[in-house]
Amino acid sequence: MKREIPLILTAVVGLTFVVQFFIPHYPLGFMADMFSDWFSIVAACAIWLGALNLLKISLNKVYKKEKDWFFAIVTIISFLVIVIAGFFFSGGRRFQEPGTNFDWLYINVYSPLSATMFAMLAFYVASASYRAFRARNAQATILLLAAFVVMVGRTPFSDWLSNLLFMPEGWQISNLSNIIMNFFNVAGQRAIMIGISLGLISTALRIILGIERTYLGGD
Amino acid sequence: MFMPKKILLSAFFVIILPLVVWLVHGLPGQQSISYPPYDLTAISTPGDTAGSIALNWFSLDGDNQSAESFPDYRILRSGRAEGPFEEIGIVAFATPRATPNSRQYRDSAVETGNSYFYKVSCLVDGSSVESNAAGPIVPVAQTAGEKLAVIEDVILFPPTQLRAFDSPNDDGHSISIEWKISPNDVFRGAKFSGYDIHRSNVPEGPYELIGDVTGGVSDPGRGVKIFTDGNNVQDGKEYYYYVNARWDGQIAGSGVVGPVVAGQQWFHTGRGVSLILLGILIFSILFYINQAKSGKELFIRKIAGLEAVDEAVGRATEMGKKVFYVPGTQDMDNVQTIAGLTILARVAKLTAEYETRLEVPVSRSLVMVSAREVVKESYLNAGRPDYYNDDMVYYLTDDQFGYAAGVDGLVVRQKPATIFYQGAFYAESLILAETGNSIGAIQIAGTAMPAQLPFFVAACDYTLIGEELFAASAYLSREPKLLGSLKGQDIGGKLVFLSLAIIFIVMITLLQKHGISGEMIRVFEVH
Repeated sequence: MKREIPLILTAVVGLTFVVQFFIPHYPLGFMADMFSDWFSIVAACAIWLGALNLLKISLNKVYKKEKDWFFAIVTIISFLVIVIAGFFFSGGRRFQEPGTNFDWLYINVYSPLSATMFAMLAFYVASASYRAFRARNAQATILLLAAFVVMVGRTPFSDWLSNLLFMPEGWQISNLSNIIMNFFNVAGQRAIMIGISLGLISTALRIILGIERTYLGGD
Repeated sequence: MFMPKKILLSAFFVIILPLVVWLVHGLPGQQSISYPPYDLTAISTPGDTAGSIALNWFSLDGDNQSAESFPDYRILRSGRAEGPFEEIGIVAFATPRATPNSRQYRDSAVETGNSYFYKVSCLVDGSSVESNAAGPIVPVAQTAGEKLAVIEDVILFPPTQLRAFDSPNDDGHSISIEWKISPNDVFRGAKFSGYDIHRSNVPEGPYELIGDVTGGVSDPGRGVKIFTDGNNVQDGKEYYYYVNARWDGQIAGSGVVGPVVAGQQWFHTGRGVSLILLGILIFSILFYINQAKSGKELFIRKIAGLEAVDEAVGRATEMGKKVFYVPGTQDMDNVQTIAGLTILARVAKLTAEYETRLEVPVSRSLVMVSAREVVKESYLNAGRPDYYNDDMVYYLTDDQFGYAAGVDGLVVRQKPATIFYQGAFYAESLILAETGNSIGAIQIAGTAMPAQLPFFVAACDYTLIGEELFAASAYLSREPKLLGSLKGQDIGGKLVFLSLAIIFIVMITLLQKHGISGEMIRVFEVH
């Protein structure tokens, strides 16, 4: 039964969502909404599993003085500070409102750190592009040229360059950039999207029918 | 030298086909010249106690520029729809305009009780362009009263063609209302402040305000504004509606529509095509599962990223370093995460066999629990349950960039030999993959997020592109049922769907070429 009950639950919930997509009549839509709510409740309760696991692993590291245990101390202190500030020093249920200690930590500590990580993406894009656009062979050279046209075409500089090169009406770099993006890029993207959609449906079907069960802990 | 078949096929789909589509759509620089319809509207002037008729129409191209050479609009009137129409006035370029792109004219030389038809004419490139005929309009002398609007220089026209109907394809409790927007509701018309929607259970009222919307159209194709009333609507009960347009202190109301009754539908009519396609896919998958079960050999093409899994784990073993497995940042309700866990099962089995250390940092508690079960089972299957430890799979944080920072820190400090990224990723994909690349780890990524694929391709050694991620389970396990479903997906999906897609494209193109459109083409629309 350890395997059967999860499989039955998966099949019932999965089929409800599929049937509800085609039959909007009550109670299918209601059931689908209810299952979504259940998932949210289970996920919200499960957050404690994760949080306690994080604390346990970090405390273990500090206790055993494992390598890089200092970072575990930072994790523990950060965790405790935000939890204590949120639960006990931020006005109870109104902890998310502006002006609370929790809000102060969110605005002044969490947001800048998060923004810093996101901003680093620019440098990573530059280094990845540098590697990807090296003209090592014919295909990479085509990629490089296409990327050059698209990037230049998206800047005001492209019109100036097009005029300098006496490019005819309709063949300016900005226009070529749009053509690459609207036709060649869209064609490739849609091919991938169709494949993804088919794979997604097929995998969902395998899970609903119980053919795919690896996620339950078996193969 | 012969070009490989794969390159020729790729060239066809990626270069030649889009090139043909692009050429069919038109060469660059070719632009059609079109004149907007006048869209002439006529109403009995609100607030005019003497009785008059107000006209409104959208300006022609050129009328909104500074060139004063634009010819005058000629206002034509008749007592009958078929004419003859006689000129009763002109609106010159210099005449102050009602809104940035519309014009108005008020005909006071009318008799109350008579009906009139109107047209507007203008000379464009030497030929006369005439508007639609608006009418019949009967001027009504408004009686003075408290609620009588003051006649302004610009007259507010009400929304027209108001229609209320049960919202289609839903589970009831909803009524859709649509109307053709007021002619005063134009782009840059800053004085226009939107529409108020009123509802009652009886036509004579009283009506209550149930919502308001800003100006502009919701459906540009039909030029209508749509509002969905889900405000305590009871199925089976009759409702009446009217809509007020608001402009600079003036209010113009539409006529009342109704009764309309909300109800629920048994089938979503916009999803018939999806149902047929799903049926084909299911049939094909079940057919090939049956074939596989009966022992028939099924050919599955090689997937380089999955072939490299053994090599990648082997490399970590040789180097005596760890294997990192990152199952994405989404929860267990995402199919990509589940697909990622099936690959984790294979990786965990290999690390158990090779006695290599495995670490799985996750960003969702439920994924942590599931991943632990998967890894535990794999170690058991490999005959090394003693090597399994719950702490191999651990939680970091739900936060996207917090998780990226956490994994990056672990990667930089522990320098694993191999990193797998399998699941759903967003902006953190490149941050993770570039950090892994910087320490020289062999990286195998797989995701079905199209926007993240280029990043993984640029930064990783192997990438499972979209559907390959979903094929991994069958490919790695070689179980007949799974292989059959994979084959069914390929045949039923790609072959049948793409053949149908090409047939439909040709059909729609031919239908449009021969001027057949509208309802016939809508049959093929998928919602």
